[in-house]
Amino acid sequence: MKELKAFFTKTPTGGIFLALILVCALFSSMTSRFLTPTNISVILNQVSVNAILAFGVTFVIIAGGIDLSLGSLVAVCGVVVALLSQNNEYSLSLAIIGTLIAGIALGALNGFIVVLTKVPPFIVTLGTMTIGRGVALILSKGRPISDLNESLNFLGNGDVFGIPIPILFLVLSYATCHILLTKTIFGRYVKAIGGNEMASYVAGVRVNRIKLYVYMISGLFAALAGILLTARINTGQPNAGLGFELDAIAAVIIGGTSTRGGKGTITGTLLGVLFIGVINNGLDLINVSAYWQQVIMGGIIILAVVLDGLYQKLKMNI
Amino acid sequence: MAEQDCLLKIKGISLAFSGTPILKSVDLSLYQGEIHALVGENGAGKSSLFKCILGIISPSQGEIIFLNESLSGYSIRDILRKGIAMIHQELMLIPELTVAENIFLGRETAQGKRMGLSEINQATTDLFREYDLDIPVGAFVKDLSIAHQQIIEIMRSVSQKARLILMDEPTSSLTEKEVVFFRQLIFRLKSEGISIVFTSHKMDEVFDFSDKISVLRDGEMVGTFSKEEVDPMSLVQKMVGREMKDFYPKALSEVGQAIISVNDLSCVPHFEHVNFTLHAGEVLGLSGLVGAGRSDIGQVLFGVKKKTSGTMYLKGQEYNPGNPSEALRAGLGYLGEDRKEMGIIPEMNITENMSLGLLDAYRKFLFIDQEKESLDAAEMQSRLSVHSAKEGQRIQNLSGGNQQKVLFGRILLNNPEVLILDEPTRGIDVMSKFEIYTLILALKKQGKAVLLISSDLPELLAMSDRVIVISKGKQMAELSRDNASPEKVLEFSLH
Repeated sequence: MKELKAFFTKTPTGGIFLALILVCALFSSMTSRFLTPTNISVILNQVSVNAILAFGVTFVIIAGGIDLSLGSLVAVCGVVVALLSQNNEYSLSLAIIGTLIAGIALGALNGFIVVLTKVPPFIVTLGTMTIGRGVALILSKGRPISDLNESLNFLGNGDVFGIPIPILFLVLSYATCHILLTKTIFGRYVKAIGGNEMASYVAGVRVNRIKLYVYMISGLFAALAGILLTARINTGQPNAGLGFELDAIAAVIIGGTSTRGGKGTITGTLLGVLFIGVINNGLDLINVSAYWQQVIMGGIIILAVVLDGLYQKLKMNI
Repeated sequence: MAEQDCLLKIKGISLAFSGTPILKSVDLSLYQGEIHALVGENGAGKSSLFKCILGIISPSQGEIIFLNESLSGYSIRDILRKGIAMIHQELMLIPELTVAENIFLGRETAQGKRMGLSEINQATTDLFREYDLDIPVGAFVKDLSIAHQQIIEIMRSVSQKARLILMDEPTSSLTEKEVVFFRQLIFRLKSEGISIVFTSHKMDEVFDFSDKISVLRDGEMVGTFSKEEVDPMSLVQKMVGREMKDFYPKALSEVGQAIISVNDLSCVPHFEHVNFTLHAGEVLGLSGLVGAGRSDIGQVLFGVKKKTSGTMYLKGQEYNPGNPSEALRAGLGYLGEDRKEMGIIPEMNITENMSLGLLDAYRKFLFIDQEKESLDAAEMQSRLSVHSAKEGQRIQNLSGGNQQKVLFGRILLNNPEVLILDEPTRGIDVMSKFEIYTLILALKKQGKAVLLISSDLPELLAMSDRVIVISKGKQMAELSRDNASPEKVLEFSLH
C-alpha cells in the first residue's frame, strides 16, 4: 500500500497513470466489451502510429522546440515508401531504409533551418508542414499510390506469435526512446538545453548539434509512422496524416512533458497516447457520435493539464 | 525616539513550514524616516520576514502593527494601500509598456475618473522633476538599464504614497556609479519621511546607507544596532554566530610561468586593444563598471564571444576557441556572471548540474556511467561543502551560495589550468563568500591561473595580485597589489 502511494505521488507519471486507470475503470463499468483481450489489442494497434510520432516529438519538446511538420512528414514518407515498393521494383528492406533516410533528411532540414536562422521552431515547422504537404502531392501527382509490395502489407496488418506488428514497433520504439532519453549523454543534454540553453552552451554542450539531432529523430519516427500507415491501408496517400502532429503533441503534453522544455518522460508520453486511445475507443463502444467525440477530446486535453497542475501542488503536501 | 514616531512594530512573530521553524519570535521596530539594514545569511529569514510584513504569508504567532493598527487579516492589496511597498530583486515591470504607463499601471483611474495617456505622462514628468530624475517618461521599459528600471519601481511606490519601502538586495545588480545615485535617491526619500528597510550582503553599503542595522540568524533576531555599536567584522560575526579571523583569507605563493597571453585583443564593440599576461599561481583582477567590457574579455577567452582582432596564446601556442566546448578541452574553466542565466539548469539535480558538459568523461559504450558520475559529484559536493536537504535535490531549491558552489564543482571536475570567474560571489551569503575566497586561494596555491572579474571592489583588491582597470572597452591601467587602492581603481574606471 505504501509503495503504491509512493508510486502515484513520487513518480512524475503517477498522475496520468492514475487518470488512465480511472478512465479504464469507468469504461469497463459501462460496457462489457471494453476490457477484453481483443479490444486491448485493437486499442494498441490503433494508437501505434500516434505513439511512434509522439515518442519522436517528445525529444523536440523537451529540448524546448516544437515540430508541427510531423503530419506532412508522415504523408511524404508514406508516399515515398509506396513509390519505392510499387511493382516490386526494389526490395522491401531497401524501400524501408530509403524512406527512413528520407525522414531523417527532412528532420535535418527542420533542424538546420532552426539552428542557422534562429527563427522560432513554431514558424519553421509551420512552413515545412506546408512544404511537406506540397511535396507529397507532387511526388504522388496528387493520386493515391497502390499496387504495393505484398510484404509491406504484412508490416501493417500481419502479426508475429499473435502480436500485431505495429504493436511490436510501438514496444520497440518505446524501449529505444526511453533508454535514449534516460541513459545516454544525448538524452541528458536534450533535457539540459531545454532547461537552460545558454547555461548548457557555456558549460560546453554542443547545443546546435543536439538541436539538429532532435529534429532528425522526430523525422525518423515520422518516417516509421508513415511506413506503418501506408502498410496498413496498403496505399500511399498524399493526404494522409492530416492533423497527426496535434494528436502527437497533445499526447506528449498530457503525459506531463513541459511545453517550456527541460522535463518530460517517454513513459509519460506512452501513457498520454494510451489515455487518448482509450477515450476514443471507449466513446466508440458506448456509441457516442464522432462529432461529440471531438468536443469531449478537446475538453479532456485541457482538463488533463489543469488537473495535472493541481495534482503537482497536492503532491507537495503529501 | 518617542513611541509615537514608531511606524512599524513587529512583536514576537513566529513562522514555521512543515515543522521547520523559519522565524522565532522576532521583534523589530521601525521609525519614520529611517533607513534600516536587515542583514543575515541566506536562509536566515529575511525574505520570510518581508513576506510577513507584506501579508503574503501570515505568521503563526505574533503581531505586526503599522501606524498603530494591527495588520493581521488584511490582504496584500490592503497593505499596499496602507503604504507598504516592496522592491523585489527581480524587478516587476512590464517591458513593453512605457515608463509612465508602468508607474500608473493598475491605477489609471484616479478619483473615479479615467486618466488619459497625456495625464499619466504629465503626472510622471512632474514626479520625476520633483526628484531630479532624468529618465524619459515615454521610453519603453525594455530599453532602460536595470538601474533605471529599479528607479522606476521605487518611483511607483512613491507615487502610491508608500510610507515604508522594503528592498531586497537593491544594489546587487547595480554598478558602482549607479549605487552612488541609488544612495542619493534613498536619502532623498528619507528626507521626505519615507522609511526604508533593505537587505544587502555588502558591508560597506550597510554601514554607509543605514541608520540602524538588524541582524537575523537562523530565524532569530540577534539584535538591532546603531552604526556606532558595531563594525563590519563584528557584524559578520553576529551573522554567522562565530568568530572569523579575517574576512579575506591570505595566501602568498610564487607566481609561475605565463599561461595565457593576450596581444592587442579586440572584440568590437565591447572592448579594444587589450594586452595582458596571466601566470600560473596568480589571481589577476579585472575591474571596471558593468558594461565596460570586462565580462566580454572573459567570454572571448572562453569562446562564448568571438574576437574581432588580436591574438591569444595559451602556453605559447596560438589559441582561438570556436566555442566553449573547445575552451573547456584546452583546459579553461568559466563561471558566468549571471548564475540563473548562464549557470544552472534549474530542473536538474546537483550531480547532473556538476557533470554538465563533461559527460564524455563518463561515457560507457553508448551510456552514461551514472555510478561513477554520482560518485565524483558526491566527492566534489563534500569537498566544497555543498549543503542540500536531501539526495537528488533540484538545484533551484538550493541557496544562491550552494548553487554557486555546485557551479565551482562543475569547473573543478574538469581540472582546468585557467579559471575565469565573473562575479563569483554575487548575491550569496557571507559564509559562502568566505568559502569561495578560501577555495580561490587554494587553487592559486596549486598553481592555477585565475582571472577574477568583480564589481565588489574590496573583494577584488583583497584577492588579486594585480588589477587591470577597464573603462568603456579600453584598458586604462595595470596596478600591482601594493599600488591598487579603491580610489585609484575608481578613478581609472570612471575615466
